[in-house]
Amino acid sequence: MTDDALAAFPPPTTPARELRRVERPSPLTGLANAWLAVVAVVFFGGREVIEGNVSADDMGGVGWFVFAGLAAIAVVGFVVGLIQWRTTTFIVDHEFRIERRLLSSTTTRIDFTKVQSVDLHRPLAARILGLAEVRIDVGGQGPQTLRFLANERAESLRDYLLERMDQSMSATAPAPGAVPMGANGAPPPQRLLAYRAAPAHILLGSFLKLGLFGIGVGVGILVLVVVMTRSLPVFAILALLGIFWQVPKSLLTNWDFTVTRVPQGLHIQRGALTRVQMTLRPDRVQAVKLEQSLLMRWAGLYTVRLTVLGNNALGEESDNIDVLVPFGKWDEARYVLSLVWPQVDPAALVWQPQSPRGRRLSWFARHEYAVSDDVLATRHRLLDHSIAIVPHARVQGLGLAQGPLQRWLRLGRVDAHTIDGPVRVQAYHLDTVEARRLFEEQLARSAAARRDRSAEPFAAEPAPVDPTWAPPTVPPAAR
Amino acid sequence: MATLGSPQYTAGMSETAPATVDSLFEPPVERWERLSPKYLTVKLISIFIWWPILIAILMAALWFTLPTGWEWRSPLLVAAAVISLLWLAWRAIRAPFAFRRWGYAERDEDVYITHGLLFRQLTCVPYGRMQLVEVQAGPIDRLFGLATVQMVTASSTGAVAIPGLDRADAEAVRDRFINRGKHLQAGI
Repeated sequence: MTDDALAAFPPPTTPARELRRVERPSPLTGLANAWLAVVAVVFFGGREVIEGNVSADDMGGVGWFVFAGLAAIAVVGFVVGLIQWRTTTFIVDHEFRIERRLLSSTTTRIDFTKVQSVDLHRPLAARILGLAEVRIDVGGQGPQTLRFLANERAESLRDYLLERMDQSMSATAPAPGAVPMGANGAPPPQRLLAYRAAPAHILLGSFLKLGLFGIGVGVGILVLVVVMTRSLPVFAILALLGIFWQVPKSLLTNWDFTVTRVPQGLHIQRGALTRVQMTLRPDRVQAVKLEQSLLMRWAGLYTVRLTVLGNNALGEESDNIDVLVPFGKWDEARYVLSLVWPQVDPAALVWQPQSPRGRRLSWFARHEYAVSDDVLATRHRLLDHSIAIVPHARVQGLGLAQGPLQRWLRLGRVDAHTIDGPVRVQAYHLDTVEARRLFEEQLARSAAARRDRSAEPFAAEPAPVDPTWAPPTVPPAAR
Repeated sequence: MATLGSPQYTAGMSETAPATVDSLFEPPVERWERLSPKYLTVKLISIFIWWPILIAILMAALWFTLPTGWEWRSPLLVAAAVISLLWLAWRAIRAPFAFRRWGYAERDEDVYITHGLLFRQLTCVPYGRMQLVEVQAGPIDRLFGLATVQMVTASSTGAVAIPGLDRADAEAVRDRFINRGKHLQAGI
């Protein structure tokens, strides 16, 4: 699992034209399902035993009863998996159809034009068995999942669907970010590892993300308990574990975070146990946010998040799906951002301060905005720092707002509306004249960018990938 | 003026237009298009329908929850009633001023909409960004032949509406927006 990401995703060997047949998920689906249930059994059973050992009185038949119950669930999981395998078929050729005939028969026909993204999920059990779950986001009502396919088939299916999606998009309007097709229809698969997050940064960032408050509360409780009881009871350790659970969680989620350039865009892979792989299409990125909490500022680490079209339909399991850089230095963040938007460099932005009168309303924070040829950006600096960037062509609409206090001080706020996501672009407390000027000018810039799609930051040649990229050992110079 | 086919607004409400003197919310064209004067009536009617219902529910809840023998029971009930009536009066007094703050201006590529009395807003939505334009009318609206034009963009913060247009005008506005949007439609 720690071997090279390139080796983990070999280029598809099956030509797309040979796919015209009815297929089934892998016969190992039952085993993988049972395995997932067994993991749950071991987890709960193990916890039961540990807790039973801790308070020896409770160690009775109850624990074993629960254990047996969960073992039964494992068997049920196995049987369900078997039934899923026997009753699910799918067809991929000029159309993509999934048929499920369990009690009622369901046929799901997925239009290639409606495919928003195709992701692979690999829970640990599936990884060991060489299986992957294919999730097809069709927008609207949650993703369609096919579990489980053999790795190789899952990858070729993913590549095929993404290729078809490209073709159907370019049939209506040429997608500016799309890689031109070769003469024989399929571009040569090129996979180039572009970025791998430094383990030290992920480790450090996962601790710092917890924040001063979390660490303070955790250590405070520990000290209080030790002082009061003059011992270290188990429940205190458990309470601490509860608080610090965020650290291993973030660590496991972001472990071995890699960005690979592929013909369809970028592949983002992450996770120590469950390996999640997402395909990011740069032309679907709507806005970007670079953020750092107080502790991350001291370490010089940034988290980069994206607002991506079609990501909101993925549901609650889409935890952290919008992350482009989990924890990285400033230069690292700039480099990975350049893979998405080659022309955008947050270090090159010239920041305009808010009105001096605005400082009266926000003396505790600094709000700035910046305009470049391609983007509008805002920066907010309080305890946490954040930079939000939206390309002119991605602005959906503009807003001006003024509350009573702002009216008294002749100030206003400019909002650039983007599609819903983690990024909000708002320029606070500008002088009314400047606010209205920014509003009108941004309107003109966005209108011009919409007319001239070549002005979009992703339209240029893809940024050069630096295969020898390593995070700088020396902290970057002050911005 | 980009607006077509709505002469009665300029005739009806333009006298009250100087409500926006502040440079931040100046119209992008000569002056704002205003809502149908009937919308103020509709607004007042709905204020006097919905707030009394809410107030009645509140009073009933207080009546049944406050302990009967309690010395503060009647003063509290009286205070709640007085505050409710003051609130109702405030909503009614405020309505004409809030009404005068509403305005919209159609331009070649986008529409400006402004509203808000205390917290003022100006929103601009390009026609090419409108995913959906619909005309809605509630029961009281229909009684007065009014409708709301609702614009949906890919951004939920950018969703805006123009209330209180005559039904025919609302439909004309919707059709104009959709037609212009067709020519200007840009990928998200």
